[in-house]
Amino acid sequence: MTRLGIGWLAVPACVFCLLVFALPLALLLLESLRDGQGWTLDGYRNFLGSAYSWQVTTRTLRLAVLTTLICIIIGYPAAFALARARGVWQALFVAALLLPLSLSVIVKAFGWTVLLRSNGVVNRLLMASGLTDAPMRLIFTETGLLIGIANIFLPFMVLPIFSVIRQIDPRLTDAAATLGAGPIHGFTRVVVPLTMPGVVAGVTLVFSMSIAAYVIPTLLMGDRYQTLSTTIATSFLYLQDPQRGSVAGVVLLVLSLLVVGASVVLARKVRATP
Amino acid sequence: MEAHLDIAGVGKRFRQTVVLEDLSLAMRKGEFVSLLGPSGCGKTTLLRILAGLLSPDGGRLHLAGRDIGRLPPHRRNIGVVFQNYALFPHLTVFDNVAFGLRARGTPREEIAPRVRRLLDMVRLGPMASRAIAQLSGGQQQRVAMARALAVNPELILLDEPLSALDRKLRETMQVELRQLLRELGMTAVFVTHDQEEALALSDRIAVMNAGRIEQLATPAEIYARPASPFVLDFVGQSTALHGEVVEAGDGRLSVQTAYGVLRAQGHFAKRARVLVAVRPERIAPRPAPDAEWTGIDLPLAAQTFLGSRRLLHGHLGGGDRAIVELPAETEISGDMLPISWRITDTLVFPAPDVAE
Repeated sequence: MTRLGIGWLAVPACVFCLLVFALPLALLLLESLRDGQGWTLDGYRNFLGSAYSWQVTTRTLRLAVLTTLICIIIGYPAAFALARARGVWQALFVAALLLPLSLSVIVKAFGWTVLLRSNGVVNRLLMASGLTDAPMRLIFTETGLLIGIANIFLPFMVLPIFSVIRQIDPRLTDAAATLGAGPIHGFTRVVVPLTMPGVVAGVTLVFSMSIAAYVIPTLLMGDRYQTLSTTIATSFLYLQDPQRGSVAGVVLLVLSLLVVGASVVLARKVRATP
Repeated sequence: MEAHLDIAGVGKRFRQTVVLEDLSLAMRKGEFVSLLGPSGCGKTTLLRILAGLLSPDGGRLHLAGRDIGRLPPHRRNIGVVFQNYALFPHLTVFDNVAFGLRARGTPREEIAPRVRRLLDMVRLGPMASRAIAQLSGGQQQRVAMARALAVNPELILLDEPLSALDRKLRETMQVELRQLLRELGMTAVFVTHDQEEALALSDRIAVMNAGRIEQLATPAEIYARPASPFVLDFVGQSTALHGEVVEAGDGRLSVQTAYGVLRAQGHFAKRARVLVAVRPERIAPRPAPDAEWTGIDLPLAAQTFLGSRRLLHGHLGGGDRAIVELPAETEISGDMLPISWRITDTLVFPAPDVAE
């Protein structure tokens, strides 16, 4: 079969992607540039001119950045532990990581509201261990939200890093050692750069999911904690203001692309550092 | 003179299996020693122990007068060229070679000239900024050499560094490798299962079997005077016939084999079970002309033509084998060939256990 002949096989997939992904985004962009009368940039003008919108945007960004950082800090070593675990242990760890994914986000978020209550498990543990005397207020606080959201998204950081670690030739660290590199030098100059593709994949997943998270903040923080996602929802559902919702949607998309792009550039830099 | 590398009584076992058994080996500075043996003989284990990547159960290691037995790999100053090279895929050729220098905190201004000099030495100067994946197998092998030599190690360990290359390239690289190491006066331990490679490169060869060194000697001596039936079999080809000593005395033996009585040299008791062997190029295609020669009538099975030489394979039973090397132009016909060799060329070993 000719090269062209095989190329035709990709057509259905391309059409599908166009219809399902590209077209809605294009419509969203058009909607954000239009009001009842016609084409206008008013939507962006209003959004950027409003202190409230800025507050919501920075809050959303902070939530996503902190969630991603927490997931890296916990997930990176966890991925190594997972890769080093042997036999049954590894299977158990992977199961522990994957099983929660089969639960709905709503169920997990509700689960956290129960755990984070003043008489919930988390507070009882804190008091029993003597870390606190009185119950801490966790539910409806940003700390509680971060605990819950980081937990729910953690598998999406651990799994890509884990799969990359498994592909690293163990002789590379041997080679680094015989060349005079102590464990730390070998780790930072050989292992870390080689895990960067996994970190980028994890960051992309966790960041874009947490910046767009809707259910978890709503359940763990309540209605008054507005993020870009909740703004989009209220604009479309309650305020009947599709332009405002579309603008927030575009802003969300752009922020997401910027941060993911930056993480790719940063990872390339780390990887290429001798 | 004190040995540059001194391995004394090193042993290693994994669970019940003895991988290295009380192994000792001493090397001069600048010497090239091959560890030759089949897979599982412990040669790679010994290499990893030397590099510090594996700790032995016992024994001592001294390098250049320093006890290195308890040092971690990065303090040993031993370069390693790994099988399949283990080059850093995320770094350029230059940065791979510079890795060890940077790890040791060599001043920046000293790194570049040293790396350039090494890359020139392995003829990769123009490739400095290439990615590893862009290089051919032979080029990668040379990067691995340059990387290991860059830190000026006291000893270099080579773990089958040429086995991934095709035959032609391997032969060229053998010559290059040997020349480079000799110019640098580098002491080298070379692990291989390829006997031709070991014979071609080594000052001395340690033939290993089941965790022990069966023989440690120069290539010529290993070939001409193998210390055991294992060495005889593993290095080079040979005719080997089982038999029983029927007459012994004065260092002279008569051995009854399935193909007649052979005369040989050695000290064995009468009735001892022995293995009589001779190298293929020592054999002449004619009956023994005088008392200095001994021989048999060989039933022929097949001939192989090798360009400059011709090999005749005998049709023997009962664990015996025969192979004769003749100039290619020798015409041989018929099913039986009288062959003979000098008594002084005969090798005699106690017969190996039947179990082997």
